[in-house]
Amino acid sequence: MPWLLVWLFVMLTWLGLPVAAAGPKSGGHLVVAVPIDPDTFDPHKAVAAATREIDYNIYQGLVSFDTEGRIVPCLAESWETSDDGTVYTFTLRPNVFFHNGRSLSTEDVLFSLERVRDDATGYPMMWPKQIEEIVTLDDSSIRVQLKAPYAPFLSELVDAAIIPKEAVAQLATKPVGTGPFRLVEWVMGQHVKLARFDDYWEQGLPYVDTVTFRIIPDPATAILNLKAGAVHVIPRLSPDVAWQVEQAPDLKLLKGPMNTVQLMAYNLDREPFSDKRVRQAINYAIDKDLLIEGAAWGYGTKIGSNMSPVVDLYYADLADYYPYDTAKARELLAAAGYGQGVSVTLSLPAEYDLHVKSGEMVAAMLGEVGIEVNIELVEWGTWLDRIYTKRDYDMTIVGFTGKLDPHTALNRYTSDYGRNFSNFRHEEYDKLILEGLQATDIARRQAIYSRCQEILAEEAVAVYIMDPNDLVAMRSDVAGWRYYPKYVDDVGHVYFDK
Amino acid sequence: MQYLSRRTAALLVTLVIACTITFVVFHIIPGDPALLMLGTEADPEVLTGLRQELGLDLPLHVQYLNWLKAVLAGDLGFSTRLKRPVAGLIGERLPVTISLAVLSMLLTLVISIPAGAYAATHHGQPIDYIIVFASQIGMAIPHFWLGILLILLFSMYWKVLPPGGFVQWSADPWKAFLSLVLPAFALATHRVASLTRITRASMLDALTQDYIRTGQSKGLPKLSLIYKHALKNSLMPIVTVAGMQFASLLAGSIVAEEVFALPGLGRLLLQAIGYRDLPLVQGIALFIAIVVVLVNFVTDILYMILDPRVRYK
Repeated sequence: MPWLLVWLFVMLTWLGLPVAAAGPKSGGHLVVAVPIDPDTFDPHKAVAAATREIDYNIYQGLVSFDTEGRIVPCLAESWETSDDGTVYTFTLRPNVFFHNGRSLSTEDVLFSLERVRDDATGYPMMWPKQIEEIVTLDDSSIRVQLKAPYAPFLSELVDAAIIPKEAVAQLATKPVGTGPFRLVEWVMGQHVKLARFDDYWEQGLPYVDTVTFRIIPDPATAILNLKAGAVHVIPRLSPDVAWQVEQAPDLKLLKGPMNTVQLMAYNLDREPFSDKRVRQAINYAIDKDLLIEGAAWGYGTKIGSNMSPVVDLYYADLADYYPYDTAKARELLAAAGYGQGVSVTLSLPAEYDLHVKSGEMVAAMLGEVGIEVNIELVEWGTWLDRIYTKRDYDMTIVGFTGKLDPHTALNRYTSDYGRNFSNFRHEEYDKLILEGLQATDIARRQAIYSRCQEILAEEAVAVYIMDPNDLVAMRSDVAGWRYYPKYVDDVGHVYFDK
Repeated sequence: MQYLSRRTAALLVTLVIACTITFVVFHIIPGDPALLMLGTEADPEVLTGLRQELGLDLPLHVQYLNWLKAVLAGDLGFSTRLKRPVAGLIGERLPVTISLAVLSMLLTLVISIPAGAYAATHHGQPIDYIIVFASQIGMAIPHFWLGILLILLFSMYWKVLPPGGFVQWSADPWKAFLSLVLPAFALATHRVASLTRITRASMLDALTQDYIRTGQSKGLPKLSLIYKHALKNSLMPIVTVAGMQFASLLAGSIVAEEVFALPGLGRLLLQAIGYRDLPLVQGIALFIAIVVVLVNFVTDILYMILDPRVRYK
C-alpha cells in the first residue's frame, strides 16, 4: 500500500501562502484528530493516556508544569516546603471557578486529595500513600503532611485533579473542572467536544471558542481529513507519513522531543546478558544514528541512559558513551567467550511500528558482530504479560514514557521494584535512588541522578536508543501549539492565525 | 411449529457454544486486562488492586458462571476499560452498523442480481465478458484501499461527500445518509462482485433446464421467461450467499469502520479485544451469534417461500 499512497499524494498539490503572525486572535472552532476514545472522564480513575491528552484542558491540579517540565503554580498560587521536605503548605489562587459556576475552596482541595488517597477510588498510582494527613488551615491555605520526605511529590501532584464534591457521582461522563475548556458532548467513537469556559481564571485564555477531538483511528484517513480542512491538528503523527505533511504547502509539521526513552532491554538473569562485556559489546555494535535515520525517518534524538534530554535539569548527556565500533564489540564478545557467535531472541511489540523497524535493523547490526538474532513479534497484551510482568524474554525493544521527576523515571531499575524487568541489581544504584527521594536540595539531586544515569550506561543495562520526536501536523493557519514533556494536548494556547 | 422449536433449540445451543468458546479462547491467549489498562507506567501494587476489582483473581469457572448467571438475568455487565454497561455500548453502535449493513446490502442486491442475470442471458457475448471481468476486479480490490481512494475522489477532489465520520440520524438524516454512502459502497463492492458471479452461474444453470425450453417452445415472452421462471428458480444459492453477506455486515466491519472513522460494532470489538475487555467481547460475541442465527432463520423461511418442496421435507 505505501507506494500507492505515495502515488496518490504526489498527485495532490496545494497552493497557499502562510500569513504573517500578528499575536493570538480569539475565536474559531478547532478540530483535533485523535485515534482512540478516552476511557473515563473521572480524573482519579482514568488510566488511559488518551484521556489525559484531552482532560488536561478540563481539569487542573494545585500545581502544573511548563514546557520545560518545571513545576509551576496552578490552582495553588504559591507553596512552601518545610526544611525536612515533609510538609507542604499551599495557598489557593483566589477567584477560581468550577465549570458549574461555584468558586473553588480549600474544602474542594481537601475532598479531592482525600479521594485520591482513598483505596476505594482506584487511583492508578501509589504516591498518594506517602500522604500522612491533609489539613485546611483557613479559607485559602491547606497543608499536606507526608510520612517521609518524598522529593517527586509536587511533580506527582500535577495529575491530582481538583474536583467539586457535588459533581463526583457523574464525573465519568460529565466532567466538572477548573480548566480553560468544559465538556459539551462526548459521543463515543465519534468525538469529544469542548467549549471555552468563560469564567476561566487565566486572563485572555483560551483563544478558540470550541475544540472538537475527533476520533479517527486510521492515520491515512486522519491525513486526508487534515488536507481537506476537516481537521486542523493531528498530534503524534506517525513518522512514516510525515513527508506527506511536509510536502503540502498549506500544512506544517512541528517536531519536538517526546520525553520518551526508547530502549532495547535485555534479561540480565539470562545468558549471555548476565555478562557485562556482552552487554557492552551489543552497545558498541549498534549504530544509533543509523537507527534514528532508518527506523524513525530521522525524527529522533540520540540518548545514552534512561532519561530524555527534555528533562534538562537532571539529564546527563551520555549519548556517545558507546560509540559505534564493531571491532571493539567483537573483541568484547571474544573476551566473554562468545567469539564463535551466539544466538538470541529479540521479542518486538507488533503494534509499535517504530520498535519493530528498529528491531529489524538491530538484528542486522548484531549479525555483523556474530550475534544471531531471531525476531519474534508479540502482541502488546502478550508483551505486557509475558515479557514485562513474567520477565520471560531475552531482548526486547520498548518505549518508556518520560516523567517530570528523575526519581519516577529511574526508580524502575532498583533491585526490588516490581517492574524491574531487566533484573538489574546494583547496590550503589539502590542506595542513590533512596537518597534522592529524601534530598530536597536541587544540586544534590542533580548529582545523585547524574550518577544513576552513569551507572546505567556503564553497566550497559540496556541499549538506550533515542527519544523519538513527537510530530504534530497542522494546517498552516493554526498557531500557538506548545510542547510539554508530558502526553497532553494543550489546546488552551492554540489560535487561528489568519 | 416443530420446525420453530427445533430452530429455537439450535439457537440456544449455538449461543452457549459461541460464548464458551469466546471465554475459553480469551483465557488461553496471553494478556491481562488489568495490565493492558495500566500499561507500563502504573505501580505494580495498583495492579493487584485492579485485578481484584475486576474479579480476575477468581477461579475461571467462577468467573464464567458469574457472567452466565448475570446474562440469564438480562445483565451483560460492565466493560472493564470503559466502565459502562455493555448493553448500552453495543446499543450505541447499532444505528451505524445496522444502517450501513442495510445500505450496502441494498446496493449489493440492486446491482448484482440484474447484472448477473443480464450476463447469463447474454452468455458468451462481449457484455458477459465485461461483467465477469468487472466482478473479478471487484473481488480483488481490498476494501480499505478502495475506501481511501473513494475519500480521495469524493471528499478531496469533488468535495461532494464527507471524508469519514458519522452524523447521528436524529441530528441530520440527510448528512447521516451522506456519511454512509462511501463506506456502504466500499463494503458492497466485494459483495456485488461475488453475488453477481453466483447469480450468473445459477442463472446459466437454470436457463439450460427443460422447463425453459418448454416455455420457449410454447411461446412465452422472453422477459417473463427470464425473470419469472429462470431467475426465480435460481434464487436459492443467491439467497444463501446474500444471507451470509448480510450477517457478516451486521457483525460490523473493522476495516471499513477504521478507514471511514465510523463508530460501529467492528471498531468496538477490535478495541475490546485489544484491551482484553472480556465482558464487552462476550457481549459482542453473543450479539453476533444471535444475528447469525436469526439471519439463517430468515433465510430458511425464504427457502420455504421460494421452494415449496422444502416445506414438505
